[in-house]
Amino acid sequence: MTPAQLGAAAAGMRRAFDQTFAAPEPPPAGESDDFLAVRVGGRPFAVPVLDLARVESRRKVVALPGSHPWLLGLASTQGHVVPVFSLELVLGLPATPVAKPWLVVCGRDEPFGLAFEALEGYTRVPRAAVLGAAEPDAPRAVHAAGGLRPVVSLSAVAAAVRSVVSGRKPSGGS
Amino acid sequence: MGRSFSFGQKIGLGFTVVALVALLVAGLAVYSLRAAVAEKDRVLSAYGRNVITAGDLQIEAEQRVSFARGYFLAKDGQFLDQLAESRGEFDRILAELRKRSLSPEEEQLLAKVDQSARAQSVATERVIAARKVDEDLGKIATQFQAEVVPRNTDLRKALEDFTQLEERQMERADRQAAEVAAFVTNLMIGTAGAGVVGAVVLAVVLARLLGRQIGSALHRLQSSSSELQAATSQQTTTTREQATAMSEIATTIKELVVTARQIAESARRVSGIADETAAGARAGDQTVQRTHEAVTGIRGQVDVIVTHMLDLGRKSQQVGGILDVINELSEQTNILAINASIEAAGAGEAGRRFGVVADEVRKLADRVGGSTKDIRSIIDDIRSSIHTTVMATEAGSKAVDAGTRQFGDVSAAFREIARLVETTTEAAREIELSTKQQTTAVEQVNEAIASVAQASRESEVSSAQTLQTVTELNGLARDLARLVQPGAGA
Repeated sequence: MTPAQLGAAAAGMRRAFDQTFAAPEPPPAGESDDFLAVRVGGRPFAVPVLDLARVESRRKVVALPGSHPWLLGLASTQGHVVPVFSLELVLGLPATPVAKPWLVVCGRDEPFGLAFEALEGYTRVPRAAVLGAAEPDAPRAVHAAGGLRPVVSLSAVAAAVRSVVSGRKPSGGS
Repeated sequence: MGRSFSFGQKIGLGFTVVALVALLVAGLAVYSLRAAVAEKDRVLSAYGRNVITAGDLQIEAEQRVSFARGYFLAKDGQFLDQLAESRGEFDRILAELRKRSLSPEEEQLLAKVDQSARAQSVATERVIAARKVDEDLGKIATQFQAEVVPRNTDLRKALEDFTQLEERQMERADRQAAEVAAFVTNLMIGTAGAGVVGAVVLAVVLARLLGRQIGSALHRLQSSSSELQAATSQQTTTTREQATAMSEIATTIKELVVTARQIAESARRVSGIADETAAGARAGDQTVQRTHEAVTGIRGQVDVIVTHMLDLGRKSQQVGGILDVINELSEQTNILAINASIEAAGAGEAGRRFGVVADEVRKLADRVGGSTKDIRSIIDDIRSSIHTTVMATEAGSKAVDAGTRQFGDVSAAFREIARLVETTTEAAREIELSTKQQTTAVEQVNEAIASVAQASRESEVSSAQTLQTVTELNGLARDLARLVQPGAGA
């Protein structure tokens, strides 16, 4: 990229940001869902933003000895210590150790972290474009970040984690 | 071995052998004749003397009888003295005769004579003694006749026997001398005949031997003359060809002289070019020195460039660090925007505008992140280019260093070239001088070759004369062979 192109890109970004505040309030659009495009165990997935409390990048996870293999350890976020579980193990994928993984914090009452490999994007998809959205318990998938991604059901993941923590056998994956 | 003697020696040896044979024959003849004559003389002398002496003894014996008869008749003492003297003479002659070399038969006969003489003397003395005392002549005569005469007869007979013996021996010696003379005569005739035969045989052998040898020598002389004639003819041809070759050599040497002069001129031009080359080499050395100084300056500028490029690399690295910070900020901004979007979504309708702003912030952070990636790529390209430039500059600096070192080598090479060119100049001058000397020498050789060519022509004429002489010699040899061996020499 030439310096002229860089300058043009910077000017475009500045203008778009300014127009955001200068434009009138947008009219209510149709129903849509936001998703995070993530990579878990080398595979693409989508995580619904509405089920998340926070996203943390490359947090240090302190391991706990003698714990369940899903439980990677403890991490600190916004002054709270939350348990961190391996999303790839929860999803039944083989373990790929990552030194400082990305975290998504779920649950506002009993928050816990799910560690994944990388954050690949943020996308907003019309609800009609979400595959399997019409059936309540059917698996869903969305087109995001250049490909079709299965949507991780965080409620099912939370149930599986709780069952593991409580010693019950999990009822199933996503 | 006869072949080692010359013809004169052989002929002289033949005549010498003949002369020796003749001389031997003559010597043998003279010796034989002298021996025969001497033997004959000796025999005749010895036996003649013995016969004469025997005659003398007989005379003395007769005288003794006569003196005894005279005393008997006259009774004169003078007869006794004469008788005694005759006896003494008889004994002396007999003693002289017995002193000679005699045969046993002669000794025996002389002993008988002596015995008879003594018996005759004894008988005579008895008669003389009887005469002295008796005057009767008859008695004396009877006694004489009885005693002396027989003894006297015996003496005479002994002397005659001796004389006859001597005569027989003399005749036998005479016959022997005649036989010796005949033998010597036959020997001389035989020897002379053998000498004549030997001389004839020797003459024949010499004639054949000399004829064969002279014929062989003439044959060889003819063969040698023919070979000499052929060789002389070939020599004449060779000499003619040699004269032609000498003329060609003289022409070639003239061309060689011209070439040597051209070489001398070329050597002079080479010397001039070498001088110019030496000047060029010196100028090249100076140019190399100046270039060395310029390259040294370039090396300093290259060092400055390397320093600046390294500084640029460090600063681009700093820019990369700042870009990392920006990237981190954009990433944090993105996370913050995501979390803001999550909070806005959790706020429902009240957070819709906040969600819009959060979306814009997130998009802006995404674009910033993309731009930082682009800038990172550009900075990486810049750093790679700087690294490549630094490497190329360092390689250039090393090349300049190597070139600087090689400039010394080039300068030394130019100086060596200048020195070698000076050597070349000197060598070219020596070549020029040597070529001039060579030209002079070649001209002298040309003159010598001309002399040799003249000598070859003269040798050609001489060879022709020699050929003519050899031809004549060959004819003479053929004529001589015809003389020595008729029928040969054809």
